Amino acid sequence: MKKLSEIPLNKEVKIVNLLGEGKHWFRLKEMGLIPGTIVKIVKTTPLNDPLIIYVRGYELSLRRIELEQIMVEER
Amino acid sequence: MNIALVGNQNSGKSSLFNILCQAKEKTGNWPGVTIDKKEGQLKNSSHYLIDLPGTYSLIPYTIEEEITCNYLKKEKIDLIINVIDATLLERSLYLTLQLLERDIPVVVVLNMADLLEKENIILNIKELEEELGIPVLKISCVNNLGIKELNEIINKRNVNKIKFVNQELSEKAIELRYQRIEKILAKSLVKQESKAKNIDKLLLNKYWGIPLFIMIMGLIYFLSLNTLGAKISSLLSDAIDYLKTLTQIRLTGIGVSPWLISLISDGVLSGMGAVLVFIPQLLILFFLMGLLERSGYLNRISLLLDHIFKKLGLNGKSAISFILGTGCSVPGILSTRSIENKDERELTISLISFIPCSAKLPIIILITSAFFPYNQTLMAISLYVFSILIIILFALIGKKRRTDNIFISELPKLQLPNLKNTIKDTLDKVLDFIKRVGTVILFSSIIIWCLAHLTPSLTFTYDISNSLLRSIGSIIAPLFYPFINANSWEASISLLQGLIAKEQVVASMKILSQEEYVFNSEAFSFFTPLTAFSFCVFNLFSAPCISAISTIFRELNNKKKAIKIITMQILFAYILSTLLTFFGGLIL
Repeated sequence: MKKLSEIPLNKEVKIVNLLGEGKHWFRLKEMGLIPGTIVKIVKTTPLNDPLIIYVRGYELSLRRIELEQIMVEER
Repeated sequence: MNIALVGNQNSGKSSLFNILCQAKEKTGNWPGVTIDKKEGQLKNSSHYLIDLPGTYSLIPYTIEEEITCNYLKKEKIDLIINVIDATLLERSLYLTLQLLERDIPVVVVLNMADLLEKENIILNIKELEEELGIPVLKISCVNNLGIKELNEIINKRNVNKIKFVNQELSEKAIELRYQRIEKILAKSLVKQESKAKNIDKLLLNKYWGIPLFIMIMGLIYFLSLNTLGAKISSLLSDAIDYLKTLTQIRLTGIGVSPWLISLISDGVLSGMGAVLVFIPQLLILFFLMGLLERSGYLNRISLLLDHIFKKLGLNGKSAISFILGTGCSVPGILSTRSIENKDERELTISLISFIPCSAKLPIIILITSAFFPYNQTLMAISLYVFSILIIILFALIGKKRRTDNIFISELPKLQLPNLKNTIKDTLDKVLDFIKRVGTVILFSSIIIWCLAHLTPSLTFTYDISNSLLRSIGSIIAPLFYPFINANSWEASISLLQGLIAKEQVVASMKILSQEEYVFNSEAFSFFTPLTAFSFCVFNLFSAPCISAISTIFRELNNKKKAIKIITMQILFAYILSTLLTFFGGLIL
C-alpha cells in the first residue's frame, strides 16, 4: 500500500483507504474518491503542487497534503 | 409550474436557461457564472424557471451550494431539470441519484451531447432511461438541439415521480450510490477513452506556465486599460464635455435660472460622466475575463498560483479575486464566494482593496505624470509592486494556523468560449455595475454640487471658496497635514471624495484647480514630489469606495469585523503616508 503522492505520472492505481476525516474529506468521497476507485495522476503544475488526478471520467486537482492521505495499491 | 435547473458547475445550466426563458427577471451578478438566483418565465408558457447555482451534492460544501440545497428543501418545486455534462456522466449521476431520493419529478438532460462523438463516448439513452426510471434527453445548447423535445416534456407534465429510498446515512450512502452508478453505466456507457489535453502540458508547464500567465494578464490589461479602452473612454469624455456646453447654451437660451443650469451641467451631467467614462474599460475587461473564465483557463491560473498562495494562508482561488480586484474591487470581493474556507475567504476580502483598482489609476497617472515625468511607468509599476508586498505582509500577519487547508477543484475541460453567452454575461455585469455604482456616484455628485454652491448662510454662489464645501474642508484639513505638509481644504475635500469613488479624487482636483495643470494651480501648488507621492499612497491604501465598502459589509455578514477591517485600512494608510513624508523629508 502506498500514498497516492508517491505514485508516478499516468500509473493507474486503486484506492484502498482514505485517512482524512471531516467535511472536506466527505466531499472528496462524494466526488467519487472511495475505496475501490481507480485513479491516476495525469498532470503536474510548475511547483509540483497541486497535482491533477483522473477519476471517474473527470480531472480533479488536489494538493500534495491531500494526496498523502489517500492510500492506494497498484492494479 | 415551478421548474428548477439543478446540476454540477459548468454543466451548461445557464446556457439552457437563456434558451428556455424569454427574459431574465433577475440576473446573475459576478464571476462564477451563476452566483445568485436567476429566475424567469418559460417562453410561450406560464411556467417559472429558476437557475440554481451549480452543486455536486445535496449536502452543501460552499455558500453557493447552500443556496441551491436550501432552495430545494424549502421551496415548492414541481419539476427538476437535472442538467448534466454528457461527457461527465459518471460523476454527475451522483447528484441525480440524490435528486431522485426526493419527492420531486426529475428529468435528466444530457447537455453538450455534440461533444460525445468528439470524445469517443457512446451512450445508450434507452438503457439509461430504464435504469433511472425517468426521461433522459440529449441536448446541445450551443447547437440548439433537443430543446423542442425538452419543451414538449415540460408541457406534457407527465413526468413520473420515482423515489429511490435510501435509508443509509453518510458514507455508506456514498458507496451505495456509486455502486448503483457503476451498475447503470455498465449497461448504458458503451465506450470511453480518457484523453489528456495537450494544451495543458503548455498551460501548466513547469517552465512556461507562469510566464504565459503573466503575458496573458498583461495583454488583457493592455487592451482594456491602455489602448482600446482608453481611446473610447477619452472619446466619451469629450462627448460629455460637449454635451455639457450644449446644455448650458441651450438652457441659458430659454431662460432657465443659472443655478438650475449649473445643477444639471456641473452636478448631474458631471456625475453621469464620471461613471460613463469608466464603462468602456470595464466592458473590455469584463469581456476578456469572461472569455478566460469560460475557456477554463481561469481555473488553471488558480492551480498555478495555489502553492504560493497557500504559503500566505490564502487559496489559489484568491488569485482570481485579486486579479479581478485590479479592475474593480466589487467583482473581486464577490468572487470570493467560491473559497470554501471561511478564514481564507475573509482574509482575501480584507486584502482585495489594497490592490490598485482601475479607479485608482487616474490618481496614479495624475501624480506620476506631474512629478515623475521621466520615469512615470517605473513609478507606477513600483506602486503596484508595493501594494503586492503590503498584501503579502498582511496576509502573513493575518494567516491563521489551520490544519485543514484544503483545495478541491475540478479541472474543467478547456474549450472555446461561447461568444454570444460571454457578451450577454458581460453586458449584464456592466449594467449591474452602472445601476449599483452609478446611482451612488450620481447621488453624491449632486450632494457635492450642493455643498460646493451653497454658502454657509445657504445662498447660492458660484465661488467655491465661499461655500459650505470649503468650510467642511477647512475643518478637516489639519487632519491631513502630517502627510501633505499643508493645510489645504481643496486637498482634503478631494481626498474625502475618494470614499464615494476613487475617480472622484482626480475629478475634484481638476474642478478645484480651475486650470489645465492641476499642480500649477493656486490650490495645489504646495505639493512636492514627496508629499504628492504620500498623497497617492494614502489614496491607494485607505478605505475603498463606498460600493466596495458596502459589498464587504454584505459579504462578511459581520458588522463588527467589517468595521474593524475598514478602520484598520484607514489607520494603516494614514500611518504609512505620514511615515513616508517624515522619513522622506529627512532623507531627501
